[in-house]
Amino acid sequence: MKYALYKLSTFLMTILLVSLIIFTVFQVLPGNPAQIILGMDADTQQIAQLEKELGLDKSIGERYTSWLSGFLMGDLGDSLKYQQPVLDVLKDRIPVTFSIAIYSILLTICIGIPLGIYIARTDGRWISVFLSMFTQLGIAVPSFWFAFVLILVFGVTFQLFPTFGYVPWSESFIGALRSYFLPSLALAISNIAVVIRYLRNTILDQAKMDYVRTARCKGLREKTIMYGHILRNALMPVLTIMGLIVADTLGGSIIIENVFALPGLGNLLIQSITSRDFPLVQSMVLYIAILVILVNFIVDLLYKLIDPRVRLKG
Amino acid sequence: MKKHNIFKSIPLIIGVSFVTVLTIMMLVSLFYTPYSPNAMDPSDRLAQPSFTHLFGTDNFGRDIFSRVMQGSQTAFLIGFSAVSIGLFFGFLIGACAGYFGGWIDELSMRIIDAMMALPGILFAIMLISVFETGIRNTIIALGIMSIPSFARIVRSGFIQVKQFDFVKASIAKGAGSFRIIFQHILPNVTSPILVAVTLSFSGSVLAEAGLSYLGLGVQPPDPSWGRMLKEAQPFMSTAPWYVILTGLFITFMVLGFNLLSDGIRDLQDKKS
Amino acid sequence: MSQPLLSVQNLDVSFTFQDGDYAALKNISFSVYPKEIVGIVGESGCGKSLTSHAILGMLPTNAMIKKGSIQYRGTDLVSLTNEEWQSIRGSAISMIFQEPMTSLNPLLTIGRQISEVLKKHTGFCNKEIKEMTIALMKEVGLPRAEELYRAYPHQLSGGMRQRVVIAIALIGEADLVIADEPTTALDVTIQLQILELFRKLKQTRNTSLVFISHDWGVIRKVCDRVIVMYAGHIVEEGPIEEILQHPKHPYTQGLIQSIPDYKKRGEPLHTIPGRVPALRERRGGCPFVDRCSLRMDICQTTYPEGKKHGNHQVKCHLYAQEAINI
Repeated sequence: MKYALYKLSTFLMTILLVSLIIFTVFQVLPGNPAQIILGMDADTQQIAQLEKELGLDKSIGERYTSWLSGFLMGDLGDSLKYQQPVLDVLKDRIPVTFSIAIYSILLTICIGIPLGIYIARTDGRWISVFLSMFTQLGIAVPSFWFAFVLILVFGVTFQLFPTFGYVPWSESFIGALRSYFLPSLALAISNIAVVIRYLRNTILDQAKMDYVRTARCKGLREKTIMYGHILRNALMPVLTIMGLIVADTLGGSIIIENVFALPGLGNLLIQSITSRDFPLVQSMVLYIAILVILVNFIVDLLYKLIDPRVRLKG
Repeated sequence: MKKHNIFKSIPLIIGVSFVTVLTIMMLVSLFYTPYSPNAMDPSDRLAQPSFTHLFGTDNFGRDIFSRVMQGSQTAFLIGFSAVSIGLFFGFLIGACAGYFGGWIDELSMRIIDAMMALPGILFAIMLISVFETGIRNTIIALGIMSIPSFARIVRSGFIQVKQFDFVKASIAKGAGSFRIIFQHILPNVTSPILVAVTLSFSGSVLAEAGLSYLGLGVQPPDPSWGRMLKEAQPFMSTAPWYVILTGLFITFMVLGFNLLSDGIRDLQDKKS
Repeated sequence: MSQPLLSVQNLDVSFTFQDGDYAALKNISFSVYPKEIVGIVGESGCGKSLTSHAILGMLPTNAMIKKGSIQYRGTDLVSLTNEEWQSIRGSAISMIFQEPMTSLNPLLTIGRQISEVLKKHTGFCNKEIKEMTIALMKEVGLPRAEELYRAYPHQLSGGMRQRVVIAIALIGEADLVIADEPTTALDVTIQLQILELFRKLKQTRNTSLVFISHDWGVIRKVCDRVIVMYAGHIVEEGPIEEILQHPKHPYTQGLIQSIPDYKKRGEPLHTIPGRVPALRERRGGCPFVDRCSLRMDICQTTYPEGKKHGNHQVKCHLYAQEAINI
């Protein structure tokens, strides 16, 4: 319980700091934000009007507290371009981003873990060097370029998957599964490589442990030793990088959504930057940041739940 | 045992050769490219790779190979500058935090943690949305993005070395801070910093490609691989070589530096 | 005498390094009879643990059996396949390790780790297995066994963990248990409790035990017979009291003189000068020659034959004449 409270306090602390950083960055906008947003040919009256809307007549401290408290109450401010609350603009976008993010993380787990185990078992052979190089390649490939290659191979040449837009889940489950497949895979590729490399190392480390020798002395089959003993221990550290993977997935989806013309958060973010919709950009950045921090918080708690050593100490 | 060493050095050899080839290409491009990278030839648009145009031509009839060569300058420039910024400020912050400890450490690490909570690319996008696009601002954004990892490494290096008895002894003897830093601490943190340098170099190259692809990074007429990919996307099915060859160079550069960093880490492990 | 349970004959084990093969065990021969506790003593690096690993077919990947045989109830273990080994380990031969802190899987319950052996080797149902496990946990002196069944290793003290490790070795009703320094990592008081447990088990169970230790005090408490190893060779072998009273090999004599003793209070503790030669430094002749105060010319060149004095056997040139005389 004490542990959870401690984690909760750092969680809130981080959100506070992140919001402060984001807010500060948007304060250093050179020149008058209202002028920048409206462009050079705006008249003074328009500018004054917008300044009031943005709360520029208030002090920085006041603006920050009203922004953050509003944000936490669910009032993310108003979008300039769409002339409606940011939350309403986001509402349609969030499911799309969540779909590819969750899909991509599932792909990461389903592909990364078995391959990690396989590569650990080939350790010391020539093939392991090649496989290791392959994972390095997976990390090095720019996700959006990999997306192009996927589109060329699966979309254009074999025409197996749609290459832009999406089918909503409510319309057709299989259709949605297919339409989200390529973006999710493109997004997952570097994380798959990361999980493979990481898991391989933790498995090889665990395989040297004394308890593995004990297990072997019991006459257990190598498979039982791997899946019943080593893997559990090897997966624990992998859980700790889940937070990183989620951050990477959400960051990567900004780019990937633009490749596949998916109307998600990333797509909206880029549009808002181009149209200088700063209130929207500011709130979206904080929104994504809070998601990442939240996942890290959950992973911490989950770790505690799963690992008996931490579980009973706290 | 011997076999194992060859195994281990293959990635390093590949990494070094990729980086070397790309460096040579970049240096050559400063003086010579087969065609002028911006010379358009409307009569020869989207030509296939051939002996006249090694990588073919783009939609304006520009020679892709020449543009790729020139793009390597930007990639190196951005990688080098961003890493320099990140290293400089990261070292400063990390060294202060690790050396002085106490509330300075607490505060700076909290801020660093908060920065790391934001996905790197999102952080860069946010900065650029405020600062405007272009090479300079891309460098600044990516430089700031790489500060946290340097700060952390330098800080933990400082804290670790501070525990060593010989450092404690020289503090006790009254050696000055600078002397301690340069004589004892620096040699002990160089190899993890080298690893971080190569990793953030490749990270910056990758991030620049992403930003430029989104239209938020390098702007024309400055050459950029990411930008080229953005321009190539509409012709993906008609001129697939344009997309594929350009992207391969980003991959090679990132892979080269990543393998280099792995190799340095292995050498460092072997030493300890 | 009955048939030996385990019989090791002329066993040679070598390590393969970059620059060639190096013999780590040379011509190891000994037997273990049913219900017998045999001790193996010697300094670190003498090949005690390697011998035990060879018996379980768990040599390090760069070590190899060069020649000789290891027979368990008449079957040669050296040529077994992996599957055959798996059916032997845990049910016929099992092992207790030195480090109780790391020998258990931190993420699995105690009950699961003990009962796993039964699940692998027997066809009992889960309920029976659980009952048998709890019964054995009580037998090895684990209090509140029902509760501990669901506990994790980190919740137990070192002594209790070692009892768990012992339970794992015993649950499969193995005829032969190899204990590799089972008390070394424990506090002295816990050590005594564990030794007491071994003595009790000797009376209640039909298990033979090979007990590896560098500590004569420990060996003396539990063993019937003792084997002294030096630099990959067996140098002396015999009943424990006989060896303690009348050690013949200069190495054994040195070891026994080094045992701290109340009677020798005030005197400096005896030590054997030098150290065990590393694998690469071993040459022909007697391996102990460089540290021996009684060495002769022949020791440099020729490895001594084994000489039997009743059930006491020694390999040393000092006794070459004497043995003939007997």
